[in-house]
Amino acid sequence: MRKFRSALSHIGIIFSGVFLTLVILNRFNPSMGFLTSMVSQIFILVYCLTVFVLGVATVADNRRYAARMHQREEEAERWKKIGTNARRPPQR
Amino acid sequence: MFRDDKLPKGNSSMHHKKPLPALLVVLLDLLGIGAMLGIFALFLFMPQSGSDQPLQSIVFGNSAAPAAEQAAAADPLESTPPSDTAAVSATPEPTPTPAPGDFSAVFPVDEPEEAVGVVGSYADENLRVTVSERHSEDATYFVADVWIRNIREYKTAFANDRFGRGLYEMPSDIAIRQNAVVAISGDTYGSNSQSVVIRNGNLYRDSIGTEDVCILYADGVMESYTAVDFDLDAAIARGAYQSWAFGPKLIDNGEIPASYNTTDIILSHNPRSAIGYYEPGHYCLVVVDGRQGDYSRGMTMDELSQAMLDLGCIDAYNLDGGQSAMMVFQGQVVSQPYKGGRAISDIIYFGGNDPE
Repeated sequence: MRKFRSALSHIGIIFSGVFLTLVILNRFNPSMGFLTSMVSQIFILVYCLTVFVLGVATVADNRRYAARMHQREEEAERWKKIGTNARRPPQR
Repeated sequence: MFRDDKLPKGNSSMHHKKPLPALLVVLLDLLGIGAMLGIFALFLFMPQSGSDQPLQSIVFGNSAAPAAEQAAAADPLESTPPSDTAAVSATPEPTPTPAPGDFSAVFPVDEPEEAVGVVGSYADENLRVTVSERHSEDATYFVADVWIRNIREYKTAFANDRFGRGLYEMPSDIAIRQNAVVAISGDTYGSNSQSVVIRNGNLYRDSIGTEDVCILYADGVMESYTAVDFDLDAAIARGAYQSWAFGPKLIDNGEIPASYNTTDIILSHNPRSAIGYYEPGHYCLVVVDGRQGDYSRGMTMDELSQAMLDLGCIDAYNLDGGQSAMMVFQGQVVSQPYKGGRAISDIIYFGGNDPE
């Protein structure tokens, strides 16, 4: 999962760099269609899909991490209770 | 992100590679950006395969006969053999109505007046051109004043004589191949896939982009439109003969436009190329040299609009400028293009070969 997210991050960085360049070029010569050509539209689609999948993966990973942390805390709490009970004198 | 909860049991360093140096990662990303830009350029600039035939013939069909001749051929009196015309000559001949696109009534017949700064002139029975060099505060520019007898004298040509994206050729080379009397760089339609292309009466592309559009109709009227106001079907129905989609339009209701449909960078001092319209049959081509220090800095869009108004144009339209701007008169480049000019997709020309 970490490798997958890392690859998506780099793809995102690369497409961001491409579009920053194209936006600057478009300022100098808008009639070239740097942002409106078919290739640009395909790039935008790939970029959006990359960022979307990366976002979903990050959110899912964060939720899993939070759930695991919560579970650990509950377990620690439970063990704490068990440990307290263990020190308790036996009930008659 | 490094999390201890993700580590496998045991010695973690045995299972995780040492990360690449940060500088190397940045360089690899930059390499990726360069590679993607290269792929982008390859697709954007490489010639696109596909039909170079027009989608539709709007005016004149495929006949090489001028509109006036077509109108004459359609007239049964004119097509009757000479022996038969004697029989009907007794009836009074109706006053001939000029066919649309025939400007014989306004075409000047007297000798052109001598003017200051004239670089060259040309006159024949269908075309009259006077090219002059002019100067403004920061710019040197060239004006070709053009009279034509028939709309078919207002011609355009493609690079490599083919319609298509990614086809480029030096404007001077296209002009020389067409034996043009005078020519200027066009709108470089080939670098854009979203613009209407009508050339010499044929519709080649029917998509409309975000640029202002200029239409020369077969009746000789030239009008510029914003992309929002432009109606392709109406233009076709009215008889569009040529179209350009670069812009912006330079005159709005006889005045300098309050704003232009382009970016701020384009509005600053630059070499320019523009077409102007006085009346059906009377036009001008303007090329402004620029980016050349003391010789000529170029014109802002406002200055170009003002120059076109000063010339007396009632409509004017900006074409591909910058390094592309070039004027050719009788095989010689009369303007001084920035860095010698560059290859573009199309030219506008008068005289010379008829379009195929």
